[in-house]
Amino acid sequence: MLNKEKIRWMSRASIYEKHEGRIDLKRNKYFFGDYVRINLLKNLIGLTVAYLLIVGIYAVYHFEEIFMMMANMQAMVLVREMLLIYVLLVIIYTAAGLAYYVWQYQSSHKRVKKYYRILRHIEKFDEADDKVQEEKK
Amino acid sequence: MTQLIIMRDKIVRIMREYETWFLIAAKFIGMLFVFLYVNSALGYFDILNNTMTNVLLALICSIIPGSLSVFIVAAVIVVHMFNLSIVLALLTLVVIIILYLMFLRFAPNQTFVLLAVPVLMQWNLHYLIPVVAGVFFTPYAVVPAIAGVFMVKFLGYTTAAVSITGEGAAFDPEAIMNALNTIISQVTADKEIWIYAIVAAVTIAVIFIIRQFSFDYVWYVSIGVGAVVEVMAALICGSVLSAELSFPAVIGGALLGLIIAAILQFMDCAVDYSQKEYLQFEDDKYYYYVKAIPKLESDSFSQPVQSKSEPVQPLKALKEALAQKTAKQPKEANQNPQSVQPVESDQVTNKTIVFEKQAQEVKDIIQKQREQAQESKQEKETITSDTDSQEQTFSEDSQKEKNLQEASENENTEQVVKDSEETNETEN
Repeated sequence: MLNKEKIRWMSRASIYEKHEGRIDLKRNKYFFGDYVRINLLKNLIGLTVAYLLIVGIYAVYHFEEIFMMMANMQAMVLVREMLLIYVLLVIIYTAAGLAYYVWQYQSSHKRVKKYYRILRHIEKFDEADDKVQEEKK
Repeated sequence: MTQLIIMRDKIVRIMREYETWFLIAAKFIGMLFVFLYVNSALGYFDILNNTMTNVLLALICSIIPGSLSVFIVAAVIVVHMFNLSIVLALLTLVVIIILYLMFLRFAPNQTFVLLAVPVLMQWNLHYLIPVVAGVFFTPYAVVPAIAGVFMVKFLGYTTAAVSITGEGAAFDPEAIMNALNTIISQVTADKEIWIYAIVAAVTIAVIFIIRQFSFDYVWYVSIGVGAVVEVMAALICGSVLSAELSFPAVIGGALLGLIIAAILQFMDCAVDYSQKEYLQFEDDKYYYYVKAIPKLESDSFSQPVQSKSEPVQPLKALKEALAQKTAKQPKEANQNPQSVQPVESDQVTNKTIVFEKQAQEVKDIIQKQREQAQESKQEKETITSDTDSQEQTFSEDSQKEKNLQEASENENTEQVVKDSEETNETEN
């Protein structure tokens, strides 16, 4: 005979698996620190690529000024400025990224906890079914 | 209100039943609009500038995740630009990559906002986005909204710059520098982008902050205040930056956003604030202050089941009488063509007289019904009293019969005894 309560719990679990679960369960494979660190690294790589592209556009945009500075042996000043801006951007992005990924992991972790609670309920139903079958035997 | 709730529940039920198909259809229509916009704005590549290709692309985008759809749209834009000018296409590609790496990577679920802005900008309705996005997305939705406006403006200036760089594979470093100069100065000088950025940020922030409170109708209040703040912010920014803003578009966009957000909010969740309850309880770790507001659902308006003991006849009779009267009225009016049509006030008085008559007739019918019911009750009582008396007489008769039987039996036994004594005497 069908156990309506068990079906209800199972549907709840499968709905979660279909939507948020796909991402949450992947995230939950990492430890908290690992997840944040890996994503901050990705963030840093992305930012560096984007910054290089911006510098490229800026170089084309201010080509004459840069050429003049290099001719006047002021290339190091320009490089120092560029590096300063880059470091500032890295600090801002790392801080923002840290807050974002911590929040992301924690909210995923909460949902996964709820999901495991649902799984425990389903397990209890399975155990009860097994007992009934053993008694019948 | 009851009808609205019932209608809402029906729509929600249907939507839930066919959720997948509705989502696919909505995505398909939305993406078709996006591709049609891209083709109307750029349209330099003939194969992509074709209705069937657009339908096919929209179909593909309707079954893949939204974040991938953005990549397809970006690819289509870059391909169009490549057909126009390779240099400008590379510039577009670089700008798209920068936007993605720096901002859009953090908003994979807000592609709707990014794609809706360019489509709505065609009709100057992009000011509805901050109100709707403030209600249904996180405050970070401001970034894709601004990115959408920026991309539209950037593509406009880039395509205009083709006159500087030259079409196709033309490569003139000086021309490229000039083009870049022109594009960047135009984009940075475009006050509409700045105004939209400020207005969207303020609107989304106000809506988000108000929604953190827990007073009654907070959702609808946040939408209303957000729309008002949006218009005010646009007015202030427009006057401060002395920009030529289309204020009817801003007000229209805010109003439309308000209506759409309110409808979507109502469809998403409607609660009955009159039934709210404040609960307080505690466990080992916490003390809880809970505000519970019941959801409005059509089940709460379902009619109570009529008990079998209630008299049904008068109601039926009332309905029948009303139906008969309404059926007779036009017939009677047709039968008397000589009757002059009265003026409006007379019509009202006539109607009231008709209603009064109907009411009187209905009252009479109910009275008759009651009398009949009382009579039937009385009859029942008399019948029961008759049966009681009959039963009594029957019991008396049966008693008499029993007595008679006993008497006759006694007589018979006496007779038998007498007979036996006589026979004994004769034998002796």
